[in-house]
Amino acid sequence: MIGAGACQQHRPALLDFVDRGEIAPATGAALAHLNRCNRCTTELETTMLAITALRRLGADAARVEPSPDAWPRLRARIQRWRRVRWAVLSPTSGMAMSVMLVALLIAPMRLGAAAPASSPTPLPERGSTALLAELRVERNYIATSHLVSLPAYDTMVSEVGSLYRNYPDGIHPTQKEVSPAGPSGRPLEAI
Amino acid sequence: MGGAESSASQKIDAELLRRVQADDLDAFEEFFARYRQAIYRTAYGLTGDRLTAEEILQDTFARAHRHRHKFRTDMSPLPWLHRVSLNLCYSRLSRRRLETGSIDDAVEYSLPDDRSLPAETAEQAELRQIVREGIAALPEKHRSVVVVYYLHSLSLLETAEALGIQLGTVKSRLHYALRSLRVHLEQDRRFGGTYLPIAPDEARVDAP
Repeated sequence: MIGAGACQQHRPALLDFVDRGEIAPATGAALAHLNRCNRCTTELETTMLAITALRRLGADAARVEPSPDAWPRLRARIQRWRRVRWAVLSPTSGMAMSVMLVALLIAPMRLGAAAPASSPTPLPERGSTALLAELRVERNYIATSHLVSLPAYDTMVSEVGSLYRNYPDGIHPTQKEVSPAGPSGRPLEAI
Repeated sequence: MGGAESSASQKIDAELLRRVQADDLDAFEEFFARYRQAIYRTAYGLTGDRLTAEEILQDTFARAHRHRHKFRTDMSPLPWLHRVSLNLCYSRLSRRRLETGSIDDAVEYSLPDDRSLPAETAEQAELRQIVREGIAALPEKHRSVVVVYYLHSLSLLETAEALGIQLGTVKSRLHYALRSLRVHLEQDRRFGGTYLPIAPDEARVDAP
């Protein structure tokens, strides 16, 4: 009776020999073992049968070819998939672009940033240069008519509020004789 | 396969893959033409059914097109294609186990051998079916080696290159796979060979 250890030892060399006809230094000893071991002989026969069946499977598969319409079918499938992809992606991307456009239009208004360029030039605020000019005209008129004494110009200015003075302290601009005009909302210099 | 030939083939593969990745359908047609036979052979060898093999071929390349951006241009896409086609084969086979009819189909579709008697043909077909089931029972890494080496009739070196593994690994996996297939054959009741009791050391074969 040959020990299982010897069978295990010779098995790789036997497999290489029956599968590929490989002859290695261990092949001689393995074949000598095979002559004495019935178990290895039986196992090797079954293994050879499996190898034969495997090779026949390969030979069968080598004789068949994919059908000639394999590529047209695959191309049609890819093109169909591409169309589906665009059909899904186009509305999604269109919607995303619309949302972005709306956000771009709304964001400056919501954040109080610069007004749109097309908005009209705002009228000067009442109490600023226009009011000052009106007051100046009125004071001159009253002064020349000697009806009542008025407070100094600077006091009047301080009562109006923080007004921009575009002349140095103590130097008053030359007063011009102008006819009074109703509040027009525009600086008189511009008329 | 020589080194220079292999490197030239890799260059062509890289260029082709770059074009495929750029969604060039003509390049994908070339890619399909180059690898379809290998994938079809795997699918037909494992299923024994032309229609199923066609479906697997279509599905493998449809997946390849969908995942084309994941391909590496510095290595062959063949191992990836093999892996996908094997998975598709076995997912189909496990969904609908090969019926008796498909064995008949396999016999019908395989080119007739005038020398074989009907009984022999049936026996061969049954043996192939048992071996197919034996391959299906192998771990994935051993299965792919068996498929590429036996079904594609490649050399050991070509198998190692096709699967991107070492030559020694191919040999050890083949040994393991053959032992498992032998045990599978011996255990199968359809197999008309000897019914040897399984040796205790083979009841559980450890993978290398």
